[in-house]
Amino acid sequence: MTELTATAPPLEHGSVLERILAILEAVRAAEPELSITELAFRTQLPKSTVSRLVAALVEQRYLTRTECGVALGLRLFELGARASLPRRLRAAAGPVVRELWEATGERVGLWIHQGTDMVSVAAVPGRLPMLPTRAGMRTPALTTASGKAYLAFCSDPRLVDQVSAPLVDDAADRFRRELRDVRDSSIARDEGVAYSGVVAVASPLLSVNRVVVGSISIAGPEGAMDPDEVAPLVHAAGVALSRRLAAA
Amino acid sequence: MRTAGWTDSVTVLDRLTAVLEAFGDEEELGITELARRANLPKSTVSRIAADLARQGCLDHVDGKLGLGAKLFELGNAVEGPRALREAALPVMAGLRDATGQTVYAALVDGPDVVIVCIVRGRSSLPRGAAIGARRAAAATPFGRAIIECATAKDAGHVADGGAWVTSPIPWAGSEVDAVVALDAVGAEISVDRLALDTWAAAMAIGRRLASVRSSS
Repeated sequence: MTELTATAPPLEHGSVLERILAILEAVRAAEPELSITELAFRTQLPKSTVSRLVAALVEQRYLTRTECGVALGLRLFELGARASLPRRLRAAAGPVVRELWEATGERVGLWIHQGTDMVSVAAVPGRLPMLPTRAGMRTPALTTASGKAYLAFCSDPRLVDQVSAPLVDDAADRFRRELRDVRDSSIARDEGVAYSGVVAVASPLLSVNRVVVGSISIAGPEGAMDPDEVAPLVHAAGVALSRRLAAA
Repeated sequence: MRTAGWTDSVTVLDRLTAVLEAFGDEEELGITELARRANLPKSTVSRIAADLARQGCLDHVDGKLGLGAKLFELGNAVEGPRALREAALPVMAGLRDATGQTVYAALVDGPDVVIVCIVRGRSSLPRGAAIGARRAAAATPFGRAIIECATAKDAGHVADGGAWVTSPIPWAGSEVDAVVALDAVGAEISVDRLALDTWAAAMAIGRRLASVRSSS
């Protein structure tokens, strides 16, 4: 007996790991909980497959059963808390972040890369109250200062290709030229593109052998924060934090 | 005919968990050490690690492997710890400022205790105390103090001969017990006063949790 999902035919999800992550990601995006039926619809996996995987994921505490379905489980919290790069960054960043915040009053963010996005490791609130300051926030690497600062120093050309895939012709060339400028100056900017009304400046974080591991950024109100004025401060913070990371 | 390993989804998940949990409290490991701890053949672990790294569940850091950004992102979205941390952090910081002592917030999950938040005071952290750490409650003085508090629902509870002061956090509608604990060792304030301050903090955190629930 076949079970048909509501609309499109099921996607080929290659490995079991990909299916598991598709399920976890769908539950994450739906927050806080999702029904099995809805989960099958969103992942475009057969409901029987989803049921079976969910049962295994609940048993191993990656998911937990709720009144209406499932939610992310404590095991993910425990594993996530031990994630290597975020831990290293947070251990080294305290004084540097504090100093940058005291000097500018703007939101300071520490970012690591994931897929075509940047994910926040920590953030301190600044002048703009609506800018979120949670850990684990995702922003696109293509348009944000933190993303460009990372990409400019990233040694994997495929990642840059992947991130810039939506751009066509002139826009793609401009993007690559911009990344070259970022490499020269160690400063990346976003002036109201990623988030309207928000200006951001970022600098890369380099570990030993000058491998880029993330970026540090500040974000403030367009028109009120002057990128030229704050750029040297952000650059200095990036250098200081990179030094602390390499020494740790 | 079943082929071993990768095709059976339950076995796959068991192996994934074995690899991920092998990191323990260590930050980064090489493949050989990972295989040893996961108790799996090195070739299997190599393959699994490559798949996990491709998906962002493991990161390459300085030539070794560590738990990755994807897990970090998913972990930050887990509702219970997230809500508790958001509500508790400012209150815990206030308690630390007022007393000088290290403050913890933890969840009780069956026989275990999971640390969700730590605000550092003058005392050093006991071994194994870190955010995300899960310990059998019976195994450490900290764990036993938390369980005593959660079971007895005892506000401003003094445990372990005055070494810990704990208070349950009122969390309406949640099936999970949450506790705030203060390391009282070396305190310059009386234990009775610490108990009162800790109880007040637990109440404040409970109110913040309730107001988030009512506004969402």
